[in-house]
Amino acid sequence: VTDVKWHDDSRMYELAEKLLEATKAGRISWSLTDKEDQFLYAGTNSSVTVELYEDRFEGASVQLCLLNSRGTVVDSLESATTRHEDHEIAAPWNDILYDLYHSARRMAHNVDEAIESMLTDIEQGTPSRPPQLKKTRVDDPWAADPADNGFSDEPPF
Amino acid sequence: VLLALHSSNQWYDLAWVDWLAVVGFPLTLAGLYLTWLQARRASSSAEAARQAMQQTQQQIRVQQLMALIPQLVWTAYEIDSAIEAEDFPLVRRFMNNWRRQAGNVHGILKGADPTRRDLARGLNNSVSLAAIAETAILKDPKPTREDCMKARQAINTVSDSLNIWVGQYSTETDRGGAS
Repeated sequence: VTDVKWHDDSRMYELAEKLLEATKAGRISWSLTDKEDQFLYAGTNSSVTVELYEDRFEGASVQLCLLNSRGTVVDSLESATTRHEDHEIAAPWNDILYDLYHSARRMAHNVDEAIESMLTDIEQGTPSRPPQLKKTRVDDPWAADPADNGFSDEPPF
Repeated sequence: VLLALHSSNQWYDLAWVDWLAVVGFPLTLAGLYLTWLQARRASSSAEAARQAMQQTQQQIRVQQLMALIPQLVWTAYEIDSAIEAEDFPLVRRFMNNWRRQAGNVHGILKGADPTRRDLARGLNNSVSLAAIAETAILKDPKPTREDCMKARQAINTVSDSLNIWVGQYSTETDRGGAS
């Protein structure tokens, strides 16, 4: 559908494409922030954040924000849909934003590294036993400790 | 000169007016050389003046940073103290101060030491994380330390790097440090 009019976000759209390309090529790195679903890439003069919003009525949406050197949001691009002749039309940048969010998340959480490490462990067959906890029965002072061969000279109290 | 020689058959046939033209030619060449020499000196002195001005500007920027960075580091200490005391309205206020001051330092640093892109990026990172932490604290009805720990870490990291930068510049006289 070509006759749907979207707000002109061509520069931010271009930025999102370039960020996705650079993220997938490993040229830029995303970091965790104090918000769980928000990730940051800081450049020398400005930064970008990508964030996933969950809305009970609208569903999930991704927002890419451009911050200046004072941390103020100066531009943004958000995934969006609109109704056109009884059809839900997604914005052309939606796929890029979702892909960017998931790529940034993977990088910030070192997901690929964790998977590689796990695959190596599986290949080597390293057994992972739960730690053996020493059984103590503090509620029963007369209970025998198997390590003491069932006898102790010490009074129970 | 050529015209003067051409107009007479022998050189001794030249009239006194023609002799003036003959003598005038090397004088003209000498004059041209002197003019060129003067222009060259003028351009090199203009260049020297421009370089001196740039150096002075650079020194002023460095001196400004020498005054601003300790204030910024002090703000970082205050953020730490406010987090320790779990006084989150104060944390938010100091985070805001950090953003404002770090923004100034970032702008001056770009001119004073354009080679330190890592410092500029570190400052930018801390400013962005501080902005996010501010929002997280504001939106959380019961804020905790977890709402600002990433920002705190970024602020401390860049504070340490800036302290090292101040230490390096304060011992370098030729770059506007100790004089």
